[in-house]
Amino acid sequence: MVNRVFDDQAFADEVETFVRRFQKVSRSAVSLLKRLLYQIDGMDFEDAMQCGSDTNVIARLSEDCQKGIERFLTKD
Amino acid sequence: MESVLYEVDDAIARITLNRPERRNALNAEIIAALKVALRRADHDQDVRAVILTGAGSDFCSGADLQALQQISTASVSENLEDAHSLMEIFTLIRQVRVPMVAAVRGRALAGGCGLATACDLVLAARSARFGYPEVKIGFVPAMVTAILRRNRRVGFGQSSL
Repeated sequence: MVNRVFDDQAFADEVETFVRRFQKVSRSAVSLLKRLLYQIDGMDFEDAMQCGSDTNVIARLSEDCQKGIERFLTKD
Repeated sequence: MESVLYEVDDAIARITLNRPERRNALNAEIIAALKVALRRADHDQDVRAVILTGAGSDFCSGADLQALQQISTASVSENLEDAHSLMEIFTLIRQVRVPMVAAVRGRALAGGCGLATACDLVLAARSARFGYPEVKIGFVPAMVTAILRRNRRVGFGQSSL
């Protein structure tokens, strides 16, 4: 149930460093992923896959994804 | 003194249970304030992640047993309403659209362990202690069982960062 363990002395700084990683990734992508993970709880494989497919479509249409793809395709 | 502190620092929200003199034990007031803080974090479009932590040396020692003793003399429906109020915390944590990260120092016991478990990610200090000691006094970690039933923690941590 614990994802990371840090020494007590460094705990506050390590927590800060870890959590700030979420600033570097797409907010909408992380939100969609969180929703999906809880949504598929208890689903069978096919239903979970369908849910994943629907989430895939939603992600593609997001502003973050469209901008991200454009950045990727136009970078040198 | 506010029972729950809420602050945002450069897109990271921090919700702090603020009853260090009672090891951040949960009572009706802190539960209500925690719900307000969670909804506030969820509605803030600038927030990217939420840290849930406890003031002082402990995360949360669980239900305030004095408060629990008082309400146990109330009616069944009043007790159900009280339990339901705590349940709403667990569902709210899941509903918050950004990652909820429990930062656990010291004791996370009973309902406090449940709170940490309900978060999407748990970061623990080496001295942290987790557990459900309430079974010794005839109580049960009932609501958190629904969360413990499935272990998604590794999946979320690996797939989102």
